[in-house]
Amino acid sequence: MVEPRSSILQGTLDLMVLKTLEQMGPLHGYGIARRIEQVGEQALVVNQGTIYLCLVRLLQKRWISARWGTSDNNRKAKFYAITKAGRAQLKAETENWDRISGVIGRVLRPESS
Amino acid sequence: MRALLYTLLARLRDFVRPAAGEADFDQELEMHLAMAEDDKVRSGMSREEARRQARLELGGVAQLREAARGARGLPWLDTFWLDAKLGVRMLRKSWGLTLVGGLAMALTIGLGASIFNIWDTFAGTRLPLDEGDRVVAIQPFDRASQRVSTSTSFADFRRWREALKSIEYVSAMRSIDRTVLTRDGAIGPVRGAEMSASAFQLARVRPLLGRTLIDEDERVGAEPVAVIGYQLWQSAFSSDSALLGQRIQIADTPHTIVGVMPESFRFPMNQRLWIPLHIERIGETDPKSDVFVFGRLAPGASREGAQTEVATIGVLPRTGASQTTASLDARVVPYAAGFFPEVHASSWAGRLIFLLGALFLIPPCANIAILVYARTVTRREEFAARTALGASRARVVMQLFVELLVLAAGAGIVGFLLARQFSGRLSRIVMPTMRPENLPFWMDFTPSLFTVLCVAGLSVLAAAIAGGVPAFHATGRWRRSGFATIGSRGSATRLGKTWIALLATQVALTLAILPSAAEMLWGIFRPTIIGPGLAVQEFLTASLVMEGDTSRFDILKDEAVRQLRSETGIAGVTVSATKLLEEPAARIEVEGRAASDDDARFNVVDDRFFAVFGARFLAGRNFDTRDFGPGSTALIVNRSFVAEILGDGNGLGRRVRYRRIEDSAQVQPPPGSHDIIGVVEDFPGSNDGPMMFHPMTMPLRSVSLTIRTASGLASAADRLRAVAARLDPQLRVGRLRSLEDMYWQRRALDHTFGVVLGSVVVLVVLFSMAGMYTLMAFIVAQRWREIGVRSALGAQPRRLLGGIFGRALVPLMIGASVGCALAVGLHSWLPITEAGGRSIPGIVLVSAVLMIVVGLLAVSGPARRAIRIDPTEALRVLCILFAVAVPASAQQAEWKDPSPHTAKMVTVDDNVQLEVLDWGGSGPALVLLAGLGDTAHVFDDFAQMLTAKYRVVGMTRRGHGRSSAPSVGYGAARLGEDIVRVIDTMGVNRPVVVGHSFAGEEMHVLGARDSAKIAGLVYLDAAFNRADGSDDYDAVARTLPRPPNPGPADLASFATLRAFLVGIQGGAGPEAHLRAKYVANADGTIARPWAPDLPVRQALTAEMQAWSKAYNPDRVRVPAVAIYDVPKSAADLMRPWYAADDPSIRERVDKLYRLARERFDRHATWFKAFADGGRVSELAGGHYVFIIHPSEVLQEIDAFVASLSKPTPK
Repeated sequence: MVEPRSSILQGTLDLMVLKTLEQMGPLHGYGIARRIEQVGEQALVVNQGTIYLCLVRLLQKRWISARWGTSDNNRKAKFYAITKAGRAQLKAETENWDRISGVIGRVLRPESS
Repeated sequence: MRALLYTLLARLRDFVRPAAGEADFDQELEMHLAMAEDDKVRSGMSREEARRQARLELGGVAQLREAARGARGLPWLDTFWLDAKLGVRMLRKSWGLTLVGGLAMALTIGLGASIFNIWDTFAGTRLPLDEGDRVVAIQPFDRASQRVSTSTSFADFRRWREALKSIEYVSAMRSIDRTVLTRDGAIGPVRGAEMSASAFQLARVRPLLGRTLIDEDERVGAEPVAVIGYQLWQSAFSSDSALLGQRIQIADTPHTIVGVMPESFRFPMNQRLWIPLHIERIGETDPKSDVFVFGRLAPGASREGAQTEVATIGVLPRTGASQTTASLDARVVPYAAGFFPEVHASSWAGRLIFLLGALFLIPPCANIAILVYARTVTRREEFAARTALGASRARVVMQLFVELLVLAAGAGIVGFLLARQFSGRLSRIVMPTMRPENLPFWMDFTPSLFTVLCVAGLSVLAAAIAGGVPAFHATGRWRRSGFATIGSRGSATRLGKTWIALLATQVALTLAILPSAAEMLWGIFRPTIIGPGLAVQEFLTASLVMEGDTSRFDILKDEAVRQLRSETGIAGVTVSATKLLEEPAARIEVEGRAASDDDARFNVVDDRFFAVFGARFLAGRNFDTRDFGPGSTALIVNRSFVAEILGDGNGLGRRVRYRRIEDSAQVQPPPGSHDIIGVVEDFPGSNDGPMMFHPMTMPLRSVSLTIRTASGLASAADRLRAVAARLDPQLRVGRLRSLEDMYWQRRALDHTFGVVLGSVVVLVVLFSMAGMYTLMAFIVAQRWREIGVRSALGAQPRRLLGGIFGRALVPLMIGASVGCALAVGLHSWLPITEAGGRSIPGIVLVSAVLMIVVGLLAVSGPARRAIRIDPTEALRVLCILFAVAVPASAQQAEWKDPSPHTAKMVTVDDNVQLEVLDWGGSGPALVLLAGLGDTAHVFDDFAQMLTAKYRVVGMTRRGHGRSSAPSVGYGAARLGEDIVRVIDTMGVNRPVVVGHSFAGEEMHVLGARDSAKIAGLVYLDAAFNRADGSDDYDAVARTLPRPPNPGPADLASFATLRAFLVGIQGGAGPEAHLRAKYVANADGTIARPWAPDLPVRQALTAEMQAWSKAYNPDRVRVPAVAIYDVPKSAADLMRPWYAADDPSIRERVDKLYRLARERFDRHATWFKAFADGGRVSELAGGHYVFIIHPSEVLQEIDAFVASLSKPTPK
């Protein structure tokens, strides 16, 4: 009944969180978790708590910024937004990821060059 | 990367304010859960389900919090701090280890740091001047011979000064040592310098008072001025601020004091007085006008640039020089290098010193490591728990390391302080001829940052060795063998090769330094022990100088001496060039001996010198009048000179020449070579070492007077002053001191050093001992059980310890041999005698023997404990032994039988021995025979009642107790024969045989067949007609309730069993009997009643079955009495477990009683016939009549024995 959880590398989660924030704008932790779930189409079931740990790290590195605000259902929540440094990091990492996946793809499927 | 920096900053912020971050995080998670819940509820779930689902998806909140906490703050710092606090607590708990270990660490770190400091000081070139690293010296350098020179010609100096652009304030100086005459007397020799005025500007130091030298002072014809240093101002002028303008006399020339320099100023090296540099009288290129040139790099200039410039300007050729000019060059070097070029060349020495300092740490730290390692064994549970909770091996090792780091840090601080105090004094070993006051000004032994870092490094190293290594080993071992061994007594921790090696190293290092240290200490303390050898309190020394016109000095001096000698109370007056204990040193050369580093001190003395001091002549003669004439080459040396320099012979006639005299020497010896004409005993009050004495042939400008008087030094001083004043007001007496003061002052310095060195040596030796002791204790503790068991089994203690000793002595022997080699090497390499030590012949051998003895002593402690096994410990071991080793079916546990019998084994047949108990006593002999299934111990208590009147012996038949258990021989005939054998062997004469129960059968045989051997028979419930079965009795008895079985509580021990039996049957018999009747388990609980081996049982059963077919024993032919156990009423047959009010029970008991009485009647009748008038008596209470009614039985026996002596009417 419960789908097997695939382990997500720490770095990849960072990437996904940054991407989410870039696309969706400032969002609170729950929102980020929901969005990642949606996008992954339930194929990835992430232990939502790890997102919060990820947010702590990203905040320390100043790739995201945080401030307290009110959510849509009138609850107090901490909203995160991507910073300029975060955007630059995201861009660099995305390029890197594309490059690697391209290489792997070519190795795995040589006929479709 | 910037991200890293931000992370660090964020962590620091959280470290300072941890609570905010945590609260935030918690709140966030709360909000998340609330939102998730709401969403799920909206999508149709119940609130309960929603909440559960939300929590599930989030994950464990506690784990998240933990993880977040790890991301915040500085966790490693927290753990470090925690470890440190724990470390302090640990140290407080084992304060012995802390104290001893800390002290040892502190001393060795102090020693190591001192060594670093000394080296750093000597090799250092940091000048405590403003921009000191830019001060340089210009050195001539001969490329051909690769030799540097410290002296430059004055002409070169002039040229460089004018031409050099990259070096400014080019100055020159020349060192002078002169006596300074002040108003109050002579001071000297004082080290000063003729120096250019620019040097003061170079140094950038302002004067304390007045002014420095200026260029005007250097002009020809300028008034001679002088600038004095702080120490001189204090000692000679008592810090008088009005001294400016005063005149002092330096080398015949009066100078006016114009300034005083501050305390730290001793530029260029160790000068205390400065006068302008004039060289007008000598040619500029004459070597006698050589100067030392130095300057300051101009702003923006580099040393390389300056070097090039100097090379371009070049060096002038010298007048009359033999070397080619082409090879002469000049170098620009750091200032300090200009003085000590040798020190700089050897940087490998620096590395060696590093190594030495670190090596010193190994012995004490290795010891502490062993002790810590041994203690990790006791802390296994703690570490196991930590590992179980997730600590990695590195973490555990880190914890132990930090614990020791706390100790090492404290030790490091103490060591640093020690180094700061003692570096200066210790440096005397390195540079023995360098007196403290002559050290260059930049060498001040204040620990530099370098030294501090060294101390820190040594502390960390110490902690690593003492804490990290044992932790590493211990955790490694536990990983391999698992923590399963925790709780069990046999520890897997062993002291393996690493520890043996460490110990051996330590022993070796200790032995290596021992001889050198011993000689050093001997050299220091020997003079103290021997004493000055003079009555030093009778001697007064003073200096005598002449102000002004010195031409009359000689005459005045002689007159003063003459007058003093004639005064009453003055025992002697002598004149010498320098005071005792202040003789200058020189390098000398002995003819006929290969040139080497021979140093000696010298003095110039008058004709009464030796007499006044009472010095004894060993060879040759004292000075006589012709030695004081011109051209005299006479020389007297002391014993040390002959011993240390000449070696062989008595020295007379040998020729000595001076090669070089110490710079600070104010006196010169007579020129030319000298011939030894006498050898005097070592001058005890003087410096130790070789001494040379010259006769006073030339006039001196100042002398030292030594007055010997018994009537008080103060009065002698007054008289001296009076005499001098009377003769000439310009004749000054100064520096009055008693020889005693001077002597002990010198000793005090040495003593401090000696004490420090002595304590270090003692500590190091103690640590070797401690290490050996620990190793031995460890081995013994490990093999304790083995020792105990082997010893209990009878192994000789000596043999036991052989193996263990061997193991423990391995490091001692290895260490001793390696140490010997190291000691010999170190001993010849270190300049011990020069540093003040005194050689002790054979010290290396003695040290080695001492080390071995000390080591043996150390291991003997635990060894002796191993031999002298603690009784309770041994007992436990023995109990374990018996439970394990002895077959469970047989013997009783080793419980000591308190009954006073001696047990013997008597051979009664082939391979059959019976246990015989002899209770002693005196009187007619009794032999006691036990019943079936019993041993002789059943009589233990009863026998003691008999020994008052009888000699009592008992025996255990075959197949029982400790007696042999053959499978045959259980017929009555054979059993009777066994008894006869025992009677014969024990030497009892015609005993009365007292037998119980089954023994009756044996007694029938004895009474019938061996009637000559026995006197009579006493049957204790033993005389039965076996053919008369008691079937009807048995039938009724079977219907009655059986006695309760003993429960587990009853079987817990013999004590509880006894209690049970007493409750059942009223008694349990003697303890030894009980322990023979029941078999116990290894843990002391009762397993089952004892039964004979199967073959024995079978044999006995066969015999007894034969009775039912035919029972016809021969009639006895000796007097006999039979006592029967017969109930006197039915009540005697009621048992505690019968329901007493049950009528059926009572009925059956009544019936039983009647049957018992009937049976008795039958047996009694039978007996009376069988024993031909044998008496019969009855006792109620139980089969063991002698236990239940011992007094009655005793009465019967007494009556019976008494009747035997009466003639029986037959």
